[in-house]
Amino acid sequence: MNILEVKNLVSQLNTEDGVLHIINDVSFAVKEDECFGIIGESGCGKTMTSMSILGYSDRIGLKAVSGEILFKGEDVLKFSKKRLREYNGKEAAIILQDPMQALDPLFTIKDQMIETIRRHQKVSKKEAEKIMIETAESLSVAKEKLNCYPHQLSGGMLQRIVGAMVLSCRPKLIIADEPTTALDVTIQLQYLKLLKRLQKEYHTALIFISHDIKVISMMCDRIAVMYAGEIVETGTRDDLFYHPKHPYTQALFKATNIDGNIRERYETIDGAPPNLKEEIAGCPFAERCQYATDACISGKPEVVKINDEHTVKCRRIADE
Amino acid sequence: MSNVIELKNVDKSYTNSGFLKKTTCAHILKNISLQVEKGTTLGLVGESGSGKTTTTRMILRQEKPTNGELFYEGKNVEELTKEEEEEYRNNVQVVFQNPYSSLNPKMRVGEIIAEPLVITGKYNKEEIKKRVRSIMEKVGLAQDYVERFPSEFSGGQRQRIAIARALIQNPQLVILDEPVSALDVSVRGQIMNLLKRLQEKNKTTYIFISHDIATVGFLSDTIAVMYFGTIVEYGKTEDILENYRHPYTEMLISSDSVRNLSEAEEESGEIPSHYDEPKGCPFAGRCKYATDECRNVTPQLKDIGDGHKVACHNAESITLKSVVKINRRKPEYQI
Repeated sequence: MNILEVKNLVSQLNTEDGVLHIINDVSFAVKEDECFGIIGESGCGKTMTSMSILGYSDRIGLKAVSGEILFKGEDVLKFSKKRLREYNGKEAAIILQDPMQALDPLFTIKDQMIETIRRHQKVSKKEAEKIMIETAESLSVAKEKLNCYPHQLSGGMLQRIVGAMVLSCRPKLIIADEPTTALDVTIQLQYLKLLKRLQKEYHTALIFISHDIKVISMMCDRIAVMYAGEIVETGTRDDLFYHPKHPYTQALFKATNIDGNIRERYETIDGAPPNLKEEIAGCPFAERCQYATDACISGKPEVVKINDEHTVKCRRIADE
Repeated sequence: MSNVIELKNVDKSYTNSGFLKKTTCAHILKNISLQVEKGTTLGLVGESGSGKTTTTRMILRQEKPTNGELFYEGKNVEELTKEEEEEYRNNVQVVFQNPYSSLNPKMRVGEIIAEPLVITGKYNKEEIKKRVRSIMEKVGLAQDYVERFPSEFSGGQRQRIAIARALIQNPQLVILDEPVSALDVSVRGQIMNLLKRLQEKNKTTYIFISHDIATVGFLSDTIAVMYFGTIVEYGKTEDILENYRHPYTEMLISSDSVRNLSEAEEESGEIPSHYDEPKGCPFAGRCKYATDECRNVTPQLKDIGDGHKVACHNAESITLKSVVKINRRKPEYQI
């Protein structure tokens, strides 16, 4: 059963410099209980997509031009203000890169957690406290930390607390947008392991967004690769790791230096992502792709199905 | 081979004089001794709270050490003449981590890159223009970028601007403080390759700081691993990456090489608080090899052969489960 279905989403961002075509025909589905990864670099549209899924588009000047975002069959883009209030936090929630974006520096952790719990569930203060302590324990947050102010705690601890706040409301869908990027590497793994365990225990679907291939491959069952507002390849972790088909996916893996050994020079991808001020007629990666043909530049490639879960948007693969 | 920079037994503490509460003191750096040979790169690896940023502040002379000395080309910086001070300022430059906050958004790219030369007051307009154009070409920035503002550029391009600014005076030493951590993966390689190429050409000395041991290994000749304000391991890059002897170095390297969450530990602890310093080795609380001796006696840096130094009572017990192999053969394509 799919908890979320994004169907042909096209969105534009209004900025001072004009309109940015930030999401260009994005489609994917997330099953209940699944960990779905979105990998891409800055500006590819992954954060904007997550903002759209949560119904935050209006707040950031993002306008959906066409398409649907179906959460359990309901179109999030058509939610009323009242429906959105019920949806955010209780049914779908987000963990951001910087825990301080979710926490108020002027209140203790305890105050903030209880407030969040009581906002989404009709419980007394005592019951909320009980839920808080249970959830905090499952995230290995010691009771004493709950009486602290955010500035007294480390980044890793704050991320766990934000995780606890999110999970305390038992949402069906959690989006984690680069949750470990700002954490030290020795703390990252602890956090990821914890998040994965809790995702299974609480039966939540998790959309994990990152630019870090190593992290995504450890967490996710299925992964989508995004580039310039489009999904260029989707597949299981094994599909992408052992049989990446899209030239961008292949180049990204090479540039990441997956085996971790040190070479004389780094592999790079020449050039830079396209300017999103104009609509791109053809494949967005064409200008950087070693295999690009005239057809690639003039028209969008179709989606090719390699197997049940593995799809690629590439003319070269379609021709094979 | 002479040392461009040398730190000798540097301590740095910050005291918070309490008015109604107790005075607290945080010892951020403890007995740091480091040297960098001309034309080489010293890598400083450590995570939050390790003291690596404070170490750069010492070298940039933004602050004075609480104890210990800093030497520039063999001379104690406290004894520099006015001219030598000026020479120091022109010859020790820095590239910061955040390409978005290290460039003045109100200045054009050309002005930003020219600023160090303008400050010296020694060059005329023509000469400055010439040097700006030359350095922009060397770092891969198109000439027509001079009139633009930083906001028009991506993170990778901004770092190129920051590098151009740092290199325009052809300095002796450049401190690179996590220069690629904020950049996308595909861009990181471009900047790392550029830094390496520029060093090969100009024989600049680098101090490269990062929490990512593989990036540090790419550029460094020697590596110092820092934890909680002390150097826990120091040596040639090959020794540190292929034959490390400190449990914290092991933790950093194995975290980097984990491919499966089942290999990771769910609880590997956190760095201790500076206001509640543990007795003995600062890493003992998280160390799987820790003994009573570790918890009571602080280990000192000991030379274990060929300049490889470790501060650990159990340096021999390390298992070397995963190493970072260094393979410096040139790839087939052009950079």
